[in-house]
Amino acid sequence: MPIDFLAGLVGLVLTLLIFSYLIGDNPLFRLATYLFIGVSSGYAAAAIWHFVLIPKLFNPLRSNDPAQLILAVIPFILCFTLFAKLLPRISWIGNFAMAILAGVGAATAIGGAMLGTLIPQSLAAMDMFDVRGLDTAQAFTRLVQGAIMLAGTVAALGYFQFSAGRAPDGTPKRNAFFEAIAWLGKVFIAITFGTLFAGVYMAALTAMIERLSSMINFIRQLAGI
Amino acid sequence: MAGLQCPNCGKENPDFLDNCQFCQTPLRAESSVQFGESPVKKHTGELEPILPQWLKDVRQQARESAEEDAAEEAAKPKVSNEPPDLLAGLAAQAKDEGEEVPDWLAGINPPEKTSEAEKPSASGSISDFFAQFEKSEPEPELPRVEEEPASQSAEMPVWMSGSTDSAQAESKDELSEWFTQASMEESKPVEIESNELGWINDATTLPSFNQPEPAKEPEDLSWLHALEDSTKKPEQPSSAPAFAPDSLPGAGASMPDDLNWLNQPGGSSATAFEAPVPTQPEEQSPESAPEDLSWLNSLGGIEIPASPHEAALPVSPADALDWLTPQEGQTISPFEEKPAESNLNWLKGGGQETLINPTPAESTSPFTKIPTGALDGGDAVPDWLKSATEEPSMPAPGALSDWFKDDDAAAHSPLQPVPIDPNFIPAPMDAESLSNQDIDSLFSVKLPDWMSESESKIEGDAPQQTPAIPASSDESLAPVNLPSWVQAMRPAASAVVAEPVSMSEEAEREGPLAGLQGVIPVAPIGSSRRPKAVSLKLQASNEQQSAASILETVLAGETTARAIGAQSIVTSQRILRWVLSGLFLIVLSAMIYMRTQNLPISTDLPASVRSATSIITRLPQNSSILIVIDYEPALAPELEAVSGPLLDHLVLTTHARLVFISTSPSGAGLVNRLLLNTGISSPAGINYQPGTNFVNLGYLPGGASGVREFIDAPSIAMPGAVEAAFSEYAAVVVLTDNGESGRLWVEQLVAKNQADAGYFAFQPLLFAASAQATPLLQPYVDSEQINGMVGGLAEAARYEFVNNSRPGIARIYWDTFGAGMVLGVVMMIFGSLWSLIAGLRARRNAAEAG
Repeated sequence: MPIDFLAGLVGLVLTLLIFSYLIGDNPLFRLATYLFIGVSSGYAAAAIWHFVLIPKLFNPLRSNDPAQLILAVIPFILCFTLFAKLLPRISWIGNFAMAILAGVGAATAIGGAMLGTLIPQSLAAMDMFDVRGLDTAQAFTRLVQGAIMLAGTVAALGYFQFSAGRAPDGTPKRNAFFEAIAWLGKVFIAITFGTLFAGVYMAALTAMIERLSSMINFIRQLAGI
Repeated sequence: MAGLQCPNCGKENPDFLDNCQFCQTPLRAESSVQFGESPVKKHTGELEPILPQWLKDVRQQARESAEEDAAEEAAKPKVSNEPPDLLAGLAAQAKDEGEEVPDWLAGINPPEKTSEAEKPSASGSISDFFAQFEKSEPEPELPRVEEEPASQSAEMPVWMSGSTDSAQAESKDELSEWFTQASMEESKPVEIESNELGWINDATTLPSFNQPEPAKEPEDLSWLHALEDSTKKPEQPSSAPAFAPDSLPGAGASMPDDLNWLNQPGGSSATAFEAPVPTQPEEQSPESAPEDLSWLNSLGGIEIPASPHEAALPVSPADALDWLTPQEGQTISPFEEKPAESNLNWLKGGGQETLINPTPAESTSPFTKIPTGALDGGDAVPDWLKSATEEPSMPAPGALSDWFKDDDAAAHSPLQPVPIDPNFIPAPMDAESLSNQDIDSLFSVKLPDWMSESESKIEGDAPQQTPAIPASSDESLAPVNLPSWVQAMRPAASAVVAEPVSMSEEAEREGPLAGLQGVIPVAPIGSSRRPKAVSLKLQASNEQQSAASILETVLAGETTARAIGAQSIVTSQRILRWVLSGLFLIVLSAMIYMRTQNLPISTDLPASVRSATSIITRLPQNSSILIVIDYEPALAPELEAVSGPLLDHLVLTTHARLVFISTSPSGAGLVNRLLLNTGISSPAGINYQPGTNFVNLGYLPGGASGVREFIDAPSIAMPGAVEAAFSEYAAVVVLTDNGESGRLWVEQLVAKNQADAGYFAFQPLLFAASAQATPLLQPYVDSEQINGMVGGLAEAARYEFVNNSRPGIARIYWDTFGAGMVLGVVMMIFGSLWSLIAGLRARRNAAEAG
């Protein structure tokens, strides 16, 4: 109980310190910020040490299996070379490990994006007009939905099409067709931004409600209400 | 003394100056003739009144005698080989007063004489001075010449008589021998090779003319000394036959042409050496006017070449007067020391029409090439006169060009490379001795008053006449039309740019042009041809210019500071922030404090939630479910409220073993909080036990690579994983607040599924996403890459309501969430209207302010 009380109390104080930013930047806000950064970094370091380095780097070195030991030494050496980045004179030593990280990460991300996003999403946009096996109402609804999605996708892509011709006065200007597409794309993009803002607002509102709820509940507990 | 004002600089100058002493601008428009202008003849008849009476009488007598001579000549048969009488102008003068120039003055002008001499009728008025050179045997003339002066010596001016008296004996012998020797020599045709033309440019290439004759006799010009002495003895009677006493003041009218000698020094060149021989001495009577100067024939004892075919040696006027120049070794101090300015201008001005701009060749050319064509006979007009008027023709191959022989180029050339006979005794060819200045000085030692007066008068006008050159004068030798092939060979015509060429204002001091002014054009060196300024303007098309203008506009827009919109007062912003924050805090706190659950919740689940519910119900019992923690602590309350119904449903339905893995370092610590708040691990709830019912594998590093590695080999990627293969997980539930990180799981799972078909074809992928990540993941839900998703508190509340209001977190927040949504919407609408009204007011104020 005392731990829960202290935890609740610390939480309440830190929350008030963060709320103090509403009246402007102040040392209390900065104190809460510094505490959050420090605690988060420490927790992250502990988590990495506990969940990454110990089980994946040091434990294999204690293996009796020579093959596993060799496989464990290679990442250990590469990981050790990364410390050379701290010294500019020998920072080149860590370039190889960094190259592996960047290359493997980029290749994985690109492959996943191609196979998991671009192609499937393109196929999904095409399949929206496939009304096979659907009744009229469903087909109509699907077609309308598919048409809106297709129009939104094309219009949004058309908005980012910056190639343009030249007006009689020499100023660059897109033709009327692309101008209309761009205008429609801007509408869809605005709707998307509005949707994202609404999501952010709802997420923040939920977090605020939770914080206020915890504070009120803590006060209630203190007050015995 | 009245001064003249310079038209250029405006400064005062003395009136006797012709050019401004400050800027050298001509003060009188008529004082100078510029280059290229034709000289204007001036009437010299006005000099008539100032002439002495005796000279007027002489002139009158000359006219009369000329008429008589003309009548006699007309009566006589025409002698074709007679030399032209260049002095015939005196006898052929017109008597009418309408003539611009007195004839006796015009007769001195050589060019006019040439025109007169071209007439065959004028041949009768040949001067004896020239005729003497035509005589093949001048010796018989000598006695006759000696006889005449004896009777006329009394009437002769003392200064002339004295000179002739003292000089006749010595000079006659010496110079006559010299002339005889020169004339007896067989003249050789002039041969000028093309490579010898350099002498034109370099006068120093003629040393042969300056070579002194070693056989000179020191007493050659002793007669000149005697002449000088005679000038000091005017009382001494003279018996010199050179000047007829009648021609002098007080003399009788029997010698009308006795002043012809005046025409010679400043006039045309002596043609004696080219004159044909066949002139008979007997034909000229001693009483006739031409014979008055016959004493000159015997003066030098000249032997005229007997054969007309013998080419005469081209002799310039200076050559003709070489007998007057002292030879080397002789002591001729009085005349050599005469200044160069004592030229023959007094003769030109006083004896003929005043030629304002005398041609340099006429006055200073020491050598004048005399053609020998006249010796061929048959034509009374000498070739050298023809050459001045006739157009030269194309020379025969190998022959010397006529223009080169005869034209003005030869006449103007100072020196000619004439082969010199070793026996030829040239006179000293120094610049001083070659010029007529010595001759001038000879006669200017002591002049009669009338001559001195005339000379001084002319010299007073001389500065006005000398600067310019009559380049286009018809009287000069200039108007020669060169043949086309010669013109084509002249590079100067094409090389010289038609630019105004200024003439040198300074008189030449050396060379054949000594004393002349404005002869050599002064061309600026190095600055006359400036390279044309190359335009640096780029030749750009309209399209390029428009593109450049666009680029310039863009660059200008980047560098131009944009006007920042007027900011509201900070205090108002802060107050507004405080007001809004206060409203939210008050409203939400009140809703939370009241714990109201009055807002209704729709039971119509979204398709994604419905799909998720369906999948959960189909999962096998006690299967391992992979739960991915992919959110930060800040959004943990939302994710706990969103994922609560899903996890509660999953646990209650399947009693699945939950395997937690986190893709963020802090995610591992959120697992216990999630299970505790959702009531899964709480004793009052499901009471899941760690290690038995759920496993927290911890943090999975590496991002997409880590995900891919975990998918390939969960036990290798996460050593705490019990499942050796990813397919051992019955379902994958991703709890994410970020669409990007959540997309990694989708992509890597789909990629693995396509690479290994059927690997986990029936392995469902469920998402519990924050409201801010839901829009980004919705396309994957629509494409069925995500089998089910619960997004945001709204869907979670519905799912929770369907799930028997378990765990109830969403429902607790729901009223407050609803109030906060309404408050937010109202504030945004109110703020928009406020902004609209404020904008309209600002526009109206701006419109009123103009």
